[in-house]
Amino acid sequence: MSATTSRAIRAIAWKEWRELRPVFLMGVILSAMMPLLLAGGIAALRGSVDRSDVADAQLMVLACLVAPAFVVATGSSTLAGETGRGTIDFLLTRPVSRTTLWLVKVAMGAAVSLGAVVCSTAMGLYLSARAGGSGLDVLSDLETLSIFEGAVPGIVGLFLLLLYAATVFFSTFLSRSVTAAGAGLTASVAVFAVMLLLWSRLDLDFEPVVPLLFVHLAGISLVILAASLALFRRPGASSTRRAPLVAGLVIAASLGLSPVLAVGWLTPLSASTSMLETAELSPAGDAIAVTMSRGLSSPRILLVRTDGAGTDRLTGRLTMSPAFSPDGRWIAYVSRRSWLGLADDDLSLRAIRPDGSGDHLMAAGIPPDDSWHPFAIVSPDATRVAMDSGGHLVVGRIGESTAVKVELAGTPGAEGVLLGWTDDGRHVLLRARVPGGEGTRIVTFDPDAGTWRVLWETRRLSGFSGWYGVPAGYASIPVVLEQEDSENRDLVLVSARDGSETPVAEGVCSGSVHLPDPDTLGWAACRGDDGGTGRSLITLRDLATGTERVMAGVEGSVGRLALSPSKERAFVSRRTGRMDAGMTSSLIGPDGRVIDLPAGWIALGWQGPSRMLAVTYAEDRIALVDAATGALRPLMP
Amino acid sequence: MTCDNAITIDRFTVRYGRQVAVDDVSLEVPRGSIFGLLGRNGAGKTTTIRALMNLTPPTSGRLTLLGLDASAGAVRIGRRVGYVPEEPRYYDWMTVEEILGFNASFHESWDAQHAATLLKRLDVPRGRRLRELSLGTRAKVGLTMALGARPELLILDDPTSGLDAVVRREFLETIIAAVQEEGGTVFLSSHLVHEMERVADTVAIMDHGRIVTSAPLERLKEQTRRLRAVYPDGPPGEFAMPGLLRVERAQHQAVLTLSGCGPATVEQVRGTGAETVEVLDLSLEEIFVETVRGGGSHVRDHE
Repeated sequence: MSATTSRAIRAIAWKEWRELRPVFLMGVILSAMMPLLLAGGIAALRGSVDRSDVADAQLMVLACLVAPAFVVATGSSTLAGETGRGTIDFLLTRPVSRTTLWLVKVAMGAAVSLGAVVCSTAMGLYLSARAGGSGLDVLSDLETLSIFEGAVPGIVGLFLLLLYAATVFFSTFLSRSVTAAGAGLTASVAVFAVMLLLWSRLDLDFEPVVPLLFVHLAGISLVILAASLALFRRPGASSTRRAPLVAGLVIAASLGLSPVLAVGWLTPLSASTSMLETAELSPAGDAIAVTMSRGLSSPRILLVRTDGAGTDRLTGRLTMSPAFSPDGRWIAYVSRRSWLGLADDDLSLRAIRPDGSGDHLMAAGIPPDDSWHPFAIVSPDATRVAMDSGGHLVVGRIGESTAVKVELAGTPGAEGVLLGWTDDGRHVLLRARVPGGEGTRIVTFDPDAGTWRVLWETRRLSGFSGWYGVPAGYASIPVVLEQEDSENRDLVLVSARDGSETPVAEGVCSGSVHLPDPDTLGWAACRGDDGGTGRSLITLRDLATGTERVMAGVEGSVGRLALSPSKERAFVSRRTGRMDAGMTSSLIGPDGRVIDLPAGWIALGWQGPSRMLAVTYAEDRIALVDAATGALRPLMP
Repeated sequence: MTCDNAITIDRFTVRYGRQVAVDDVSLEVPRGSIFGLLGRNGAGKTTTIRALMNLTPPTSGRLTLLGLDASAGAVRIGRRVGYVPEEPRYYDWMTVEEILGFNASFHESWDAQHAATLLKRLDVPRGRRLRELSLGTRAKVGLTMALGARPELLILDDPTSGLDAVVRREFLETIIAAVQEEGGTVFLSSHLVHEMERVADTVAIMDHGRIVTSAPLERLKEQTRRLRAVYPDGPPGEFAMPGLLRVERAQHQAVLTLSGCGPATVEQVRGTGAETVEVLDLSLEEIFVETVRGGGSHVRDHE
């Protein structure tokens, strides 16, 4: 670089600084005065001012208003300011290359913007901390608004880069700074929104999304800046009539040709890096619908083929809790995904076919309960879906978008939990607390009539069983009741028709129950006087005839029981030692032989008489288990 | 194109959509000359000059300054060419001193002493901000910036437009003095014909985007003349001769304005039955008006 060129660069930089200095100073002064302005504003609105509110509001205003304003002001005046004032010709006829001129002007604009943003943010944080505000916590608060966890500062920074690039670009061929600012702001917001939409629709996992999004944003900004430079290098850029077309093409190209998009499409969802939240086996046993997530805001539903054919993504981000219909034709699920693919405030209830077709909404606008994991159960006739959102019961109809939505508070089902459907599919069953005292009740809700009925009620403490779904609905509901004067329990069946109570077992130490089919009740219980450490017997009762037989015996207290369809084999999760000892998962064969499985594996369900599907939530894995040998064949990952 | 030309314009055209601003213009400006480009407002003068300064892209054609392509060699041209635009706009927050310093940063050949002398001669206050200066004083600042780098070629686009007569004269005298000192070339565009007549040694007339006449001023004056022909029986119905710009008929005479007018033309007029033919000289303004009004003919001088 010659001495003249470097002298020219210094001269341009000096001129730029002199011209941008008012913007910089105004920004810093505004940042310093902002607490006063905000305090005045808040006082006018509320009548009183809290110092921490002012401090927090200041940071928000800085991030959302002041910083973009700096960037727009400097970016738009970079070239359009010169064109508007008519000084651009003077500058362009100096003996310096247009590239050098552009680079110095754009770099100085960026530097002043950055300096102004840094100074005002630092001042904002300092004042915030002095005033007792949350300081940097505001940034983390912003993250809750984002679908990209942990990326907010980066995204904000890159958005500002995009904003700067866009305003510089429009500033290249528009002669008014205000027009360039408006066009740049509009274009960058539009580009940013389209990008978010694209990335959101891509439904990638978090880890690849954030770096790729950063690359994409930075790439687009650089493409736009390069287009500005290309235009500027060409004489008469400000008079070209094709400028709007060029602008559109540049933006379209930068969006469409961005290679990271292709990378994005090609990046498969990696189950190995996701967390398994829920899993449900299809009635035919051919697939498992699972909720996978990398974070609280990103669950999605995958379908794992049990024949080992692989895993398919069924729904997009922010969907959860799949539930198969008894005929296996539909999967109901809960969604928190807006049409944009972003997080919605409310929940919705939807249904989709296992092949991914027919996705439709049944109910929307369901208030969520953040302390509750919403779930759905399909009616035995596969026409309706009941959903428990925490405080609301929703009953939707598959194929329709009309639903019954009931707030549980103030109804007989207040504080209730969805149990399932009656076997005739007409009523929804809930377990609820007895108002004003200890005890439990079972209530039914008729979604057609909108009426409630208390089916059964007890003052005794009780627990419910039926860990595994009852696709055919309940003809009778197994209930475990605590004995008042001992630690033993009684097992009873409550009729879903009339609420009548039938004793099944008395004085047992536990009561794990499974209803493998509508005619059979299986339970595993040890004798009460063993204190939960003795031998449990797995008993099968024919509900039609009332006859019972002992299927097998196993050491320890059984916490889970899953009977095979032929009722010759069973899965148990049992505790053989002290209460604080871990649970052991075991398979029991027809001959009574017990095969222990690796720790943490529990049954999802059975696939035929001798194969079981098992899951370990601790390791986020699903496997097919040979019930005869206990051998596990991983299905996912 | 020869190396003796400071500017060579070859088949230069500028179109804005369907509108043709400059139409197939070719022009040569010899080194050391003061070349005047005359034309009405909107004739295409400014477009031509902006293209020479690489501010407007040509639709077609080639422009060369000091042997360098106007577009490809813009930076090198900028070091050797001084330019004063029609409506100079500078950073009005700068003082005269600051803008001269700013401008000096770009020029290796900047002569601060020369610039100071010019400022003194033109009576420009150095410490005042540009926004506080009159239009004429700002034009003088522009001229100082153009001349301070001791350019080989000075391009002025109607620089005295809007200035009062005193400033105009001062301005032009400065240019002439500078050219005489340096032996440089001046390419001056103007619609003020009197001015042009005083300083230019070569003149081109541009109209509707085309060069209609281009010749050394003296030759242009020699060749563009008015002939008053007397016809006792009245002038003929038609005059068919090359370079005829206008005919005014009276009962016994006709006044013909011709470009490319020589002894042969006089004889040709006599041959139309004229009893006497009187040759009248024209001022540059009259030549300009007649040329522009008559649509002109191309008189090229390739000396």
